Amino acid sequence: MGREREHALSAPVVSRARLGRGSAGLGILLALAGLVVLVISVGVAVTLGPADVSLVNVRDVLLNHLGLADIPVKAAKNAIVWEERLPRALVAACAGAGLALCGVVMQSLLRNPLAEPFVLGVSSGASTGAVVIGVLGIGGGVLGLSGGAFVGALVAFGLVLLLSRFTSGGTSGVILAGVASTQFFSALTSLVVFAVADSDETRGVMFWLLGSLEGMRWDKVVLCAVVVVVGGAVCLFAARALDAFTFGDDVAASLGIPVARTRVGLLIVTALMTAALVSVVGAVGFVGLVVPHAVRLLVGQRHMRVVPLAAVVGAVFMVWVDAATRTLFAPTPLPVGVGTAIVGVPVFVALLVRRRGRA
Amino acid sequence: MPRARALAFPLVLLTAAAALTGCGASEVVPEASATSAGEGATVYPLTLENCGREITVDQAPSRVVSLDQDSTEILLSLGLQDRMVGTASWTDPVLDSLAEANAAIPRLSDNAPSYEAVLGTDPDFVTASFGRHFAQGGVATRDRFAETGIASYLSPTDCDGDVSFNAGGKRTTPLTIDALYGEIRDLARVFDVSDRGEALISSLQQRAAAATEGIDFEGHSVAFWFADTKTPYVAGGFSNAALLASTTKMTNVFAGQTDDWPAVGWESMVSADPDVLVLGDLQRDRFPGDRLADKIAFLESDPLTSTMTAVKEKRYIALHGAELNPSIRFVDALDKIRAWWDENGSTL
Amino acid sequence: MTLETREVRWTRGGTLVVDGVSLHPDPGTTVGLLGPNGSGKSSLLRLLQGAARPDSGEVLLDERPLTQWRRRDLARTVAVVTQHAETDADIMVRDVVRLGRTPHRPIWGGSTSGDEEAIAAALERVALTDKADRLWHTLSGGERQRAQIARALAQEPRELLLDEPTNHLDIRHQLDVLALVAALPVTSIIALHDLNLAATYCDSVLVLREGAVVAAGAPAEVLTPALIAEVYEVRARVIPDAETGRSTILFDGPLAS
Repeated sequence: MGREREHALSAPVVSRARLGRGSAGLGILLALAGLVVLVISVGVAVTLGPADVSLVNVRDVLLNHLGLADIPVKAAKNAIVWEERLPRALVAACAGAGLALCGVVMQSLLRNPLAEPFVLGVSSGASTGAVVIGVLGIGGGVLGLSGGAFVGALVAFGLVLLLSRFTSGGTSGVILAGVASTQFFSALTSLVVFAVADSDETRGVMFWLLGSLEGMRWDKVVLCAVVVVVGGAVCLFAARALDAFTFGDDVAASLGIPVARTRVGLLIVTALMTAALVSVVGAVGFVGLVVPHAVRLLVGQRHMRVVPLAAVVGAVFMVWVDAATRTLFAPTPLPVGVGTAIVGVPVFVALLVRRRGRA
Repeated sequence: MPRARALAFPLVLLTAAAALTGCGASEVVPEASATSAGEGATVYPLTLENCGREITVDQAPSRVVSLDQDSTEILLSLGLQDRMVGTASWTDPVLDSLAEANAAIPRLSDNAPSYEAVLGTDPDFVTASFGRHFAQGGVATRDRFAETGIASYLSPTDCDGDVSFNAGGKRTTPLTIDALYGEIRDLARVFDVSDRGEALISSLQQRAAAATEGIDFEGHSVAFWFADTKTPYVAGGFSNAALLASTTKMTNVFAGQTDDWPAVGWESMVSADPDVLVLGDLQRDRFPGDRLADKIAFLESDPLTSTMTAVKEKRYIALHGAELNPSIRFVDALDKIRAWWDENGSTL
Repeated sequence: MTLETREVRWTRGGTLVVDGVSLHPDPGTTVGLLGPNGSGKSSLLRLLQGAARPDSGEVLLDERPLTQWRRRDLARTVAVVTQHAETDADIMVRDVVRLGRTPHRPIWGGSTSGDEEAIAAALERVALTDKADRLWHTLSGGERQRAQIARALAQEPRELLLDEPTNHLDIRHQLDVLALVAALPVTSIIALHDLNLAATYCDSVLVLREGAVVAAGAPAEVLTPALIAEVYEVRARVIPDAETGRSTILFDGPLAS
């Protein structure tokens, strides 16, 4: 009877297991394939938008800027493609990749499937920072909205580190401290908005709280790209340690991982990465939560595969969601965070159902 | 129980103190003051149709709170400063010509005031230019004001029937200048200063005619940029700004939008490439790009917007916030457009 | 050459949990740690694996204090199997075993050539080769424990520490796991509850009570009715079995208090 039970249990699992098997080369292969999809996605996304730009226009503009041709293109079209849509798509890709990477690290480090980059209070702190500068007008000259957001994010994270010293330590302590910090800074943001802001300002703040890819230029592309490349490299180096955390701190320690140091180090790197990205694009939710689950469903748990693939999938996801939110409600720009939520929630539910079906 | 006894003495003292404070003379309620002498043209009680409501005024109000600057400036232009007890929602400094009259009137708030602040002035009439003050989440609904015997008035430039556009309704027809004149006439009647009202309207009409004489932009395109460098707020087709455009024969590139001030992406404006840009110079200075100088700096430094013809040719017309609203300052707006036309019209 | 402790004392949260314990196992043998709950078995294991430092005394591996060992080298020598390892992740059995290769892999996590062989050997050892591509969740309790042992084996350690590995297991699986561990060439230190299992599978036992050693030596010599009464507060009889030469412990009931 035991044997039958074993066969019944193994049947639905085989097809997924086939993907999970094989050499680490599979991870590289998938990541490369993903990169190709990303490049194509960016190319297509650049043709989409309220202004009339054709694929031919895009091709001409790209060839011109790459120095491969000198085709006359209307100034407006050239500007729209090269100064607005392309940097915007690239920032979307970087932000999606970065947030997905942070999500992977958070979920593995804190051993909690609901963890995501904003669990450390970073996004709430960023919102408070932006609101304090934007609405109260404090320090606006020196920092600007993004600078304020970054500072706010770091303060919130600092609070988390401080609080987690007083809790039991370990992962649940960090999560509790994160919850406390998030709630505190959210309350501060609400306080400022309700007490001081008028409807115009509130709308401006809302745009920021939900994430917005408006006004992205090449300087932001460079910043985000650097953040994601550096952060991604760190995550890749941490793949071994993240694997080791699967069964908890004790097992990880017995496998030779310096647990406390690794945890704090990864939390800091993730917080910095998230803070930087949020200060540029605002608090875009669901990417960091959903993409890691989707990727793990595809390639299993090994972080050497999950990390690069999560970055690529996150990038493609954001590029498409942004293209959709831009065009479906043209010319009114919709905050990209609304799009990620609308798409992310059903995807998340689908993932949950699949998980339950398996357990 | 020594503890109870220790508490008892201070308790008795407190109670005594409380009782004593209640023993003062009652606050004096002033009698309704004698009506200021009006022109005698208005017959009271006056019933008026205003934005889908009937308002009734038994005598000329003597304690008016104006919730918006536009309404305030109409009242001041009608010489009613002695009857005003509070103002609010200032977007720009008061018109120079009205500054002296305005000086003595308490400013309840730079933005929207609270219901209590308004009631604290003991008003008998409340005016507003924007319906959001009378909506849920605003100062108070018109019903609530009516319950305490305060009649309220909303500018007809903001409503169609009982739908207020500022409070969320949608315009279906373009705003006309008659709505503004209607507001002036209504208020003049309420306060029994109809002659002053007609005089004001005449002077506005004359100034408008003088300003627009000979202006013909011949359908050149324009975009009005109110605020926000990230998602610019532009003027839609039925707004007061669009009225300025149509009066001077400019084509508003965002005429297809029905909201008064919808937000758009920059690429929409760049691809429309308007010939002229009207820029809001906002005093409030709260968002990036509120000030005129900031707007121009942004337009000229941003790699996308700097490709627009109007930016390259520096074809900017600067208007204050109040001048873009449906208010008596529309003539100032026309004057400024006139000034620009005289200097630069030939370059178009 | 092996892991040993010398007079270690450890106070945890204000309570003395390990009181002057010296443990010096013979290489390759299986040592049972016995004692009632709270006697310090788990605490002693934590000290042995280097997860905590004693207040006094030394924990040595190859005659060197643990504090002088690099974490990685320690992980390649000492492997630990806890009572119950849990995870939310949908991890495959093969990947669970692969975790054991962590201390052997370079920092950037690439696989070394020895990895696949070590994993295959470990799976073979615990008889889970045919289930290697299943999800860990779908395994039974005993199989999961065997997978954890395989993971420990993949570390290619010389010392194996197990903390009550047979809790929650069917008798069949209890016997499987202990037989497996006893047969391994590594030095194993197992904390156990069941006296009979200890008597059957351990080469020597260390009996603890309130953190201190009460007796140490071969099970047949150490596990006497008197000792059992003293440590466990139960009446018991030890009945030798002529056929196997081993003894069975029969419990008559709690000691009258």
